[in-house]
Amino acid sequence: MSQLRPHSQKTPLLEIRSLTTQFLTEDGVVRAVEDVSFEIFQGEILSLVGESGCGKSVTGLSLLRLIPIPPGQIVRGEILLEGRDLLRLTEKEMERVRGNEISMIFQEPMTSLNPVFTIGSQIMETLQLHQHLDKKEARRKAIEMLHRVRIPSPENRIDSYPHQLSGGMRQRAMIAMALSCQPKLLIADEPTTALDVTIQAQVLRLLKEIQQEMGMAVLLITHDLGVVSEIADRVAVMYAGRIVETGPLEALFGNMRHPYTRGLLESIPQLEEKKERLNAIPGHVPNPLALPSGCKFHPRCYLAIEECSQEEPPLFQVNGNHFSRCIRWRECC
Amino acid sequence: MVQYLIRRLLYTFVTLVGISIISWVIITQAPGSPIAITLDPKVSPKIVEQMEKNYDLDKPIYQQYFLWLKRLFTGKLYSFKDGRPVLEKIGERIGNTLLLNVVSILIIFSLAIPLGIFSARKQYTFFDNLGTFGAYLGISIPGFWLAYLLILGTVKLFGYPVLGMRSFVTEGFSSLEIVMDRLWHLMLPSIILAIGGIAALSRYTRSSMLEVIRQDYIRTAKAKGLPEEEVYYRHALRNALLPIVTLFGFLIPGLIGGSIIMETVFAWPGIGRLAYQAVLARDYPVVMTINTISAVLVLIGNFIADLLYAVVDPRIRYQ
Repeated sequence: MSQLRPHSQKTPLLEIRSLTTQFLTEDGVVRAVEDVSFEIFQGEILSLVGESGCGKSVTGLSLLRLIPIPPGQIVRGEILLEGRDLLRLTEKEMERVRGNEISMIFQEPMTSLNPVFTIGSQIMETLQLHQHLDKKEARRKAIEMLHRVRIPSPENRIDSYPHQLSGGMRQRAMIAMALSCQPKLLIADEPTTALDVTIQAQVLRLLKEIQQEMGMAVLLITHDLGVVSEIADRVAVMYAGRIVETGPLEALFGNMRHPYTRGLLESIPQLEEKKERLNAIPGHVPNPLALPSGCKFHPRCYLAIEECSQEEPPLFQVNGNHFSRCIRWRECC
Repeated sequence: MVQYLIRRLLYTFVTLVGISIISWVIITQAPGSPIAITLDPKVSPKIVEQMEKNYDLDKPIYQQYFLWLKRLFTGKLYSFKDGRPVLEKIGERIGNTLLLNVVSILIIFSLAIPLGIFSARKQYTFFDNLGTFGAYLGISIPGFWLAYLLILGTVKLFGYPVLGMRSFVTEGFSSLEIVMDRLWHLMLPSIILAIGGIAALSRYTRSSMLEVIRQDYIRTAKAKGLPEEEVYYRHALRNALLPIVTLFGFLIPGLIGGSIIMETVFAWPGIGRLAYQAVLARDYPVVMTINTISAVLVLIGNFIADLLYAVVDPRIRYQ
């Protein structure tokens, strides 16, 4: 039993309880994140997986309280960083968490760096803000960080503007900036999606290496199961704002217990099989303004029965820390 | 960079020649002639012919143009109206116009940009709506009307003259009093000239700012833990000002055009009033020269705007 629940003895670094985030739109209230709970332990990579619009990015932004308010609103929940509820901090206290204890990198390295400042000044800014270094020390540290993310000749590159770097280099600079204050947790929101495939692999490897060196935790938000299988320790699958299945990587990939997870995995094209069509999940992602009753996935589910449309299923424990939000999880897959 | 500057100067020169030719044609072919306006219709045709000869009006239009050009650059250009050198007439007034325009540009930029930023930060609040209302008011109220209203109000309230550049009688004034008198006369026209600019530029700053704060790098700046003020005034403002510096170029000709009306209303002895009087008298040398100076200023304004663009935007600097 202890082998199946490796983390049960430790206290998590970050614990999210019943996080619910909504947006007030002209057409009504959109619940982008509904009652999401998970925890991240020190030194592990947890991957949040799902299709676009499933609420995974909003979850990431909610953790740092970067949801624009209004129209956004964190309705309830707790975000406990080493026991401290981030939702109860003042804005000033929250500023000391951002970029310092929890950092975030984003999908588009092209647009996520300010075009009018050099990458050096953008990294130094973080260091001066949180570590109160003077300009000279900050510059030295920034060069060291650029070196650490394997940017060649960092002494020269530090004075480059973002547009002078390639996409991969820009994302490395972003990573250097995010990690400059040695955060406990890095939230990486689709960090490789905008990059070429070969660059993707390099950046992922870099992330994994630095994560192990520094012993920090990573919340990896992605829709790319290839990325997940490469570096994640644990996986949480999201659908329509909810976590539908969560567990260790091997359990989810080898012994999935939710039809949506299975659909996701089967929709990856395989090289060996030459098929005319991809195994896409039938139907569409539900309209967030008119979610189906009961299990949000039942209209697209091949296992759906009468009961599925009546009540939203809770998370069932499959074993250890493997959970599924499907009433037929035993029969699934 | 040097190559760019040379190319740019060359284009500017070609544009300038084009402008001067077109305006020459328009001005000389417009109805009315300098002689018909200054003389009694009963004067004998012989005298008219003689005068046309004096003014070179009997020559073909292209010759007249080159004569004007030659005289402009040799300084031998004389006004039809009083025979004084054109450059001298302009020279004694250009300082007055520049003073007025520089002051109102300063007022525009120092008020409009903070106003626009504040409106953007407080989008859809009472203050922002008030700003929108004020901007529409400022853009739509005719300047001359507001000018007369303010002249009336100020004179009634303070009983001190506001027209012209200074009071008629300044004897016995201390130097401080003379300065105060000059500033007093400068106040109303520069404020009136600035109102439209403030309204337009503050709106422009607001929308530019609102666009920038939706960008990804603003989210990055927040995710770094920067306080909101730094996110706004360091990361957002620098980017929001990029399109605004180009406006700088367009404001200069706007103010010169505006000063024809305002200088007349306020009896301000500037270029605008000179141009207005010259147009009425069909004083071609004066009109054309002022026209050319305006064109040069417009082109310089655009040139400065482009240079400023390169200063603030590194992406342009390196291309």
